[in-house]
Amino acid sequence: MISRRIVTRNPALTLGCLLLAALVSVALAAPWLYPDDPRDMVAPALLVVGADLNFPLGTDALGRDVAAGIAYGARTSLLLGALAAGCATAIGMLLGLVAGYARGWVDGLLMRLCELFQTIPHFLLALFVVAILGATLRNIVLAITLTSWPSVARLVRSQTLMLRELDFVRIAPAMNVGRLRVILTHLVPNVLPTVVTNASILAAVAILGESGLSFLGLGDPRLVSWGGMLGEGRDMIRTIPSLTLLPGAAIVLTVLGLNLLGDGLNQALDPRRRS
Amino acid sequence: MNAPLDATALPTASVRTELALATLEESAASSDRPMRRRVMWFLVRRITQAIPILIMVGVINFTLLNLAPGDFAQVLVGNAGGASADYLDQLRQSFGLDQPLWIRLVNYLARLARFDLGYSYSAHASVLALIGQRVTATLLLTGSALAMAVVLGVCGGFLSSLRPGGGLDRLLSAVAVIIYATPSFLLGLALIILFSVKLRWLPAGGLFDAIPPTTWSGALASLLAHLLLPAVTLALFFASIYLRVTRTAMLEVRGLDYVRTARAAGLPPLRVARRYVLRNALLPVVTIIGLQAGTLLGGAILVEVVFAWPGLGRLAFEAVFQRDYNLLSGVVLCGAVAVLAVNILVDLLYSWLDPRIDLQ
Amino acid sequence: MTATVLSVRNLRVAFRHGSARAEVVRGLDLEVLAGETLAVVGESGCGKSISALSLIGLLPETAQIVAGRIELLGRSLSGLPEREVRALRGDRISMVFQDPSAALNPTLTVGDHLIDAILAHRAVGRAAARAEAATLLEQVRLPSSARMLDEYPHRLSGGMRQRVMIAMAIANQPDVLIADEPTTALDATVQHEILALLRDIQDRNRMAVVLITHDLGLVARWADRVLVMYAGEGVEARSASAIPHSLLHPYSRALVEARPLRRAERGRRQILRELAGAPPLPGEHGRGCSFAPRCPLVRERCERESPQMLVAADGHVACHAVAERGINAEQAT
Repeated sequence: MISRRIVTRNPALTLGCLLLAALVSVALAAPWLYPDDPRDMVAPALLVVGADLNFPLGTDALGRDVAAGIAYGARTSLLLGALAAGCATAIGMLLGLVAGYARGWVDGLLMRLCELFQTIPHFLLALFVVAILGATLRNIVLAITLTSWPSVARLVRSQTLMLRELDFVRIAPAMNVGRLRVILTHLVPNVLPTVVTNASILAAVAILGESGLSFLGLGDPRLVSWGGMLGEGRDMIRTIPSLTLLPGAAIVLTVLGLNLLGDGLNQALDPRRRS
Repeated sequence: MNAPLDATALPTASVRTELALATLEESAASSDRPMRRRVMWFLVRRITQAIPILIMVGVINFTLLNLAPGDFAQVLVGNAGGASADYLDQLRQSFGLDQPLWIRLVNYLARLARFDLGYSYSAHASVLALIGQRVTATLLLTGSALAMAVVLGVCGGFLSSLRPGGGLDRLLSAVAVIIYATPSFLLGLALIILFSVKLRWLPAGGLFDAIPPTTWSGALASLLAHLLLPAVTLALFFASIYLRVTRTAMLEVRGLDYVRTARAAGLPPLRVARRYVLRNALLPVVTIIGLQAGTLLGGAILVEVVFAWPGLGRLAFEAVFQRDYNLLSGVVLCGAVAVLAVNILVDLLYSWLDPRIDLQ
Repeated sequence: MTATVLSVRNLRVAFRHGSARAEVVRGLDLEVLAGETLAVVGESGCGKSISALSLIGLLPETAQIVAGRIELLGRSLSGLPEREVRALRGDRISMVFQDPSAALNPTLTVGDHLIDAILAHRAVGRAAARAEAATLLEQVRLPSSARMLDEYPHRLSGGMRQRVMIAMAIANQPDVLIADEPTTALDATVQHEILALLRDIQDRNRMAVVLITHDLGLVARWADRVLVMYAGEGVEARSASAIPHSLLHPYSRALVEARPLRRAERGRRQILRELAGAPPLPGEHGRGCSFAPRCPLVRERCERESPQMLVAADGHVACHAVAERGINAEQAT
């Protein structure tokens, strides 16, 4: 009864959850479906889609199974999305809370820092960082975190500024409640829903960013990445477009799922649209 | 008539005081100062404010350059095919690399202040000159993409908002959501497959045809044909954002009092929508353009690579693979300057669109 | 004999929310004569503003006219296509709203607003429209200078903005002007000037005014006739000279008594302080008189049967108690 109402009232949330559930199942099932390393050559090169039923999505120029690559790519994307969104959210939330609660010069300094990181084009900075530090998953997460924490910090700061004007926060110091306690018991729980919703959007941005980096050849070579598959398949685009389009579709569906989830959560949390 | 008429004097006392007050406010806001001077002061102020940010960008660049494996001397020597340790030390000395970190930072910043972005050993030219060669192509691409995105997004959002929940609205919103989730390089490749490979309507890459056109008009036509696909690729993503922003703003503005006033005056619906709703709904779109200047440039990197467009993005890509970090850092700095410049322009535009915003 | 310019018969307006429907105007009758001022009075939520919006065809999307007949200059508006209603709106009938602070587009100048209002109904050139906009400013006693025309709303005071709104409303010399609480958001001194201005324009253009207000003091001074509304119905229609002591309906009398100060700006909140209870919620009307639960003169009949508007003194009253006591009730005070 309730679930049917969610489906009709909030189709974005429903569709987003479905897409993500499918993605997570594929990611979890990947080692079980394809126990071998997806980077191994397993078949003749450049099998087209449907030519060999053992390799339903065909093989690439090095004879790697595209289906296995897509399954393992889901693991990479999810891992990266979760790590980057998690780190950016944690850092952004911490700095946003501090800025909004402390105000004064601390706030000014942190906001200038946000401004600085928002001035450098994000993808360019990520490219710079990964090019210099080396293309590993850790460095890619670092690069994406570096570019996306300011938006979280600004969001949390503006919410904190609003919340600290509310009576139960203003009255707290008078009641001998410590600052940390105020932040933990009053501010964090109130900021959390917005931040979680935002994290889903951040994960989508991170996955897009990683796919761009690996498309340019800056992906972690130890991991299979959709962007990388797409970049390698690009040379064969005139003859076998499926090498480009299949990992591309996987990226679109994943990012779509995360965006819809974010929109859906937003809608569910927005009291104006609840009713 | 029940009440005596006492208000025949023209204009009445309180209107006079109101006017006086308004005049006072006016001189306080000093809006009588000529427009050109106000704009000039605004520019001076904003450029001054941008300088510390640029210095910090320089610090970030310097930090990253120092994190790179191997220093400039090694890179130079490596390129030349190896050398003795003595020669390396000599080189380091001549480049000042033996000095403490903070002195090198100050030197680096001082060079930036003189617009000296260093030397690109991979292209054997000064970084500034290389950027100068490529900047026009990128400006052409991002400028036309931005214009297309604004036109497409605002028109789409306008049409969407006329009947929210209607068929057209659902269709446009669905298309926007999908495009928003599509990486630009995938979109670009898909457009190449369709328009260059299958239909053979448009060239798949480059700036001009392989055989250089001989006439001006031929060159222009060739350029536009080559520009169309990359510009559309870059534009669609941003159009999907502007569509959503315009639609939301239209629906919000539609319920405001002054729209009711316009309707009560009997204005035709389309005129109400254009002059009273759209005009005000454009303000958030302008804000978004400023916020996303960096994203536009970042997106240009991938699109330029896909379409072999000889702009800054491709230059950055080439720098990555030549390990020419000095060149890469020059592009980063240039990107930051561009973002700051766009934001200043956007603020000027905003104050022109919304008279409530004063440049002071 | 003065002509009727606007007449409303048995108007019913309902809000829709999903399948639920709540009637907020329940059978309103009114008549406005050329050049006169009719005041519509009642508590907030009694349906006076919604009635006004339905007169110019600007009901919110969730509301709908479910029954009744509106005639403007002898022409029925019911069933008229939106295009023709729009042609009348701002031309023959126009409206001034309560809060002038948000009623003008911040990105357009005063002149833009006035020119838009003129061009909406007349095929004149832009230059001619601008010249006329200047004379409109003169009519509302604002400086008719080019500088005023090029001024933006945020640089004007509340009173000046309200004058601009009035100028927009009278741009095409309408026969009826609906003024919905036109002065509530303004200072007391400015209030009087705005009302004097309206009266002045009204006399010059022979324009009828429907003044919607909660302030009986204002009505006594500015209106010719008064219509008291309660819970979506008219309960008493009288000459304004009946205010304050000769009103008959127990609700009208409660309105008079509950007015502790003449100051309109204080009135809104204190009105009906002495009257216990609250009006029925829309959609929750019983069979009888909707005022019965709060009425000091309530009798058994009131709970059963809704009273009709009957001739009483110089107007009409809908009240069983008044009908039983006869016209003499007037002398009871």
